[in-house]
Amino acid sequence: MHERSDKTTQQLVLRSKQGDLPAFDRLVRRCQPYAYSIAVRLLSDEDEAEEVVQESFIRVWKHLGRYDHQQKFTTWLYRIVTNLCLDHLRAAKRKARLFSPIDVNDDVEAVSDARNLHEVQVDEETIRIAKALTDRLPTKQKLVFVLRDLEDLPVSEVSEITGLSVGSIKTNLHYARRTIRSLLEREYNIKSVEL
Amino acid sequence: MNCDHYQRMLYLHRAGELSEQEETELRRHLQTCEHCAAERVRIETADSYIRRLRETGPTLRDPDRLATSILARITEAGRERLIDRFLDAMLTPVIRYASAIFVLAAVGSLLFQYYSTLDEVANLERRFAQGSQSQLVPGVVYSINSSTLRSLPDRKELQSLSVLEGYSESGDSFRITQRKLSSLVPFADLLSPATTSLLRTAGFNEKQIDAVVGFLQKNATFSFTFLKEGA
Repeated sequence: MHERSDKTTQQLVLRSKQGDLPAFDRLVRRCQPYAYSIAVRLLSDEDEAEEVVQESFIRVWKHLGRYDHQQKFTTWLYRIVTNLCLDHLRAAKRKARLFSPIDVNDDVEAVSDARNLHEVQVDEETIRIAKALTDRLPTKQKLVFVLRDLEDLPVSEVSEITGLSVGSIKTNLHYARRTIRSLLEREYNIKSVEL
Repeated sequence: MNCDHYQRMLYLHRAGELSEQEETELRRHLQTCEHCAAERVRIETADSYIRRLRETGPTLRDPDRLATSILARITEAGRERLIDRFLDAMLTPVIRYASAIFVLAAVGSLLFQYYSTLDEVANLERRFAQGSQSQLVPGVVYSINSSTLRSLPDRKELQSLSVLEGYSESGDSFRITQRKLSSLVPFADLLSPATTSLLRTAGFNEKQIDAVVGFLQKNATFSFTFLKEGA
């Protein structure tokens, strides 16, 4: 979000803090696409992502009193979203460990069968590939990769959201990008193709 | 420094990820290392695809529905918060102690009423026990059902029996009530020896028997039921 819209966001936050529900409604409508984008990229599930977005805004409303105006509102919101996503991922991992001895990355295999990226035209397919790729990353790498490379947030903001040091973010980014590159070359045959 | 170090740098290629000094070092190295230069091309290829993934972001299926549902949940939570506030208020020391006193007073009052009522009942029983028997015993009622007099129950004939009073008629029977046994002399005569013998068998003495028979004659009420012909 650019500077002007940031100002509007801050004004809506201030009014929401005073209990102005219509202002909060506008704030939700303004910020929910970004929150949803992060959630769906981290969780790889639209329903779960919507649930997380709902829960995140409810938490925002409940804890607006604690919000520090020195911080960007979206950074605070994204931190809530990512924390809830991490909770969901941990729960899913536990569930998978308990109930399913089978590899949970079934859809990764399905995407791998596609192989030829030139044939991939539709956005949905691209999103599906992004999901298949990020699902192969360990949680921390997935988190920094989604926030930095897919959501295009600066390293400093990624650090604020995740609570990780800049050094740790760079290390995780390095490993994540290396894994992604390796997957793209090995499974999607992109070494020097024109995109 | 070896190539691993520079290749790590190659992966951190986006703005703000490398310091100026690291950028310069990397640029110099790439001019002299073919392997790393080739690696750079491969990384950039992958990166261009990642850029495409970034630009094709997921979009909400129904943003309006999601926002509406968030607001609905907040409104609902607001109502719950009001209830919470009320419950919190109920838990303040003043209200807590006042409630405890009220409950104790209510329980005490109920216990007092309960025991005082029991006492009153006991007094009443005592008074009855000390009073005369006639006050305690309700009127005695005898009922006789007769099917042998089927031919008799003609309304006029029954009504003509002057010693009887209280005539009533239902679907399949006539009912005649005689309030006082003393007005039914033949029945009273029959009753006396039978009752006397029964009471004697039960262990009553003559004085008690006379008292009981006298009481019955004075208080007993008879009723006769005659079944209609064919009933």
